[in-house]
Amino acid sequence: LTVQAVEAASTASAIRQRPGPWTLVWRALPLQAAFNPVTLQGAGFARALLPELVKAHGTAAGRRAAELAEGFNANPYLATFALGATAAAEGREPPVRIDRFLRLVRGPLGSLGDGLFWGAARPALLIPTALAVCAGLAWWLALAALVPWNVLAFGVRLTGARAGLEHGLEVAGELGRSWIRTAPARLRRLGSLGIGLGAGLALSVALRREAVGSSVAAGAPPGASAWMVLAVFALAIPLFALWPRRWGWGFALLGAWAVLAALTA
Amino acid sequence: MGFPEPAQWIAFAALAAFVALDSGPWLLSMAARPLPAATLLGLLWGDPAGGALVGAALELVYAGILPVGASRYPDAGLAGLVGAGVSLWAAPLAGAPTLPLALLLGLLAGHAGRGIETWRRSLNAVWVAGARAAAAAGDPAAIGRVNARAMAFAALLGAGSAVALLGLALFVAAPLVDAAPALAAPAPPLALFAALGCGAALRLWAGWAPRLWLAAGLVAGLAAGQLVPGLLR
Repeated sequence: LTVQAVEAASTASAIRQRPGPWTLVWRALPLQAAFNPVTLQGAGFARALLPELVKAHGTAAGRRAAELAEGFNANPYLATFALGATAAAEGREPPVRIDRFLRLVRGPLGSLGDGLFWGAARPALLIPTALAVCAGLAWWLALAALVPWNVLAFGVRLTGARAGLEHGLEVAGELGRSWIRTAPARLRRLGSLGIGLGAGLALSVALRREAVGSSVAAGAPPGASAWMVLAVFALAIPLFALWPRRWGWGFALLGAWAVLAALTA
Repeated sequence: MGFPEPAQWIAFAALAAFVALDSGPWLLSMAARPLPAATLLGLLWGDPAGGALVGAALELVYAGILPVGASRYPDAGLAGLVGAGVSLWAAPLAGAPTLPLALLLGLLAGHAGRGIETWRRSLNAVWVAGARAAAAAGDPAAIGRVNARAMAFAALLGAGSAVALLGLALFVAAPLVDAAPALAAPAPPLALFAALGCGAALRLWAGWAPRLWLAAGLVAGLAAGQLVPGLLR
């Protein structure tokens, strides 16, 4: 009975020493402050856990912080899964086991988070908004788009911190069952619909401008200019979709614009 | 042709510092993307719609670049700030937004920002190596200090480089706006912008399902634009 009581008290004490999930989310914000090509996010990861390292390792906290700062990289929003798990495990699990967990988990956290945030949510949110702004809808949409993004970002960070603190080094299983896995496919469909809507609205404005003769194709014969708008749209899609370097799109756009202006001058 | 007022420069530098932090070192609220960053500059300089238009064009241009892993890419936020700065400054002088010129100078600034970011990361590597050595020797707070220093440096570098690049861009743009008022295009090429958005979707998202949704959205958007009176100006 005495041993059980001591174990229970020890567990309760360890739980009390853990940071709250919002505290971890706050500490995770500057995760990439000292991002570099050698240790990547390592320094930010170690900094976020410094109070736990001092509690768990005392005078050896510096050495452990240097070990954790050696290298870490994951999607910055999903990194709270690893932060929470490490915060829960430091002092309770051997460092070798924690380091092995961090090596194994960084790949899934990176690919899952990059797919959700950079590959799905960002284009699904920003491309339709940009097209709507180009089409002449309200400018404040550009700032309103930040709201759903940050709801998603802080929601994922908080989910990760809670799951990590609760499940410790077993958090990978929780990640596999999370809604985060299925969200990208839904966002891609929603984003495709939004981009189509935005492009349709932009084309509508272009067609209307042609009708009143205010565009670069104003010199075209009556009726021909609407077809020209649609032809430019249809021809430019493969140009941009197949353009070899994505960051060359800007110069491709300016070149196509110049050709269009020259043809219709 | 005069340059922006000192108060405008100060507001620009403060926004650039925030954008530099938000683009990676802190928060990641997406305010560092060209669309919100340029709109915020437009708000500060008195023409949010003008800023939003330049930001939207640059957003479409950069839509296909994914910041995966430790990859390096143009600084889209810096491009948005410099592009919007050029456009907002030149619009009253040219009589209309000088969108092509603003896009070109914004894109060049974005490419310059890539080199600046690479250099900043290399410097971080040196600082972090020193901090790790100090921590291993018994000073764990060194890890906290190196993060704080790197963040402050990122903000200062972001503000300084944005101010320098906008100054250079305005210096280049001034004679062009004076000599070639045709740069003030009467209307942006919306068909090209729409194609850019659709091209990004096709490139990013393979499979039949997203393409069907894209086609459905396109038809619905065209129908709404043509049939709903007053939806679009």
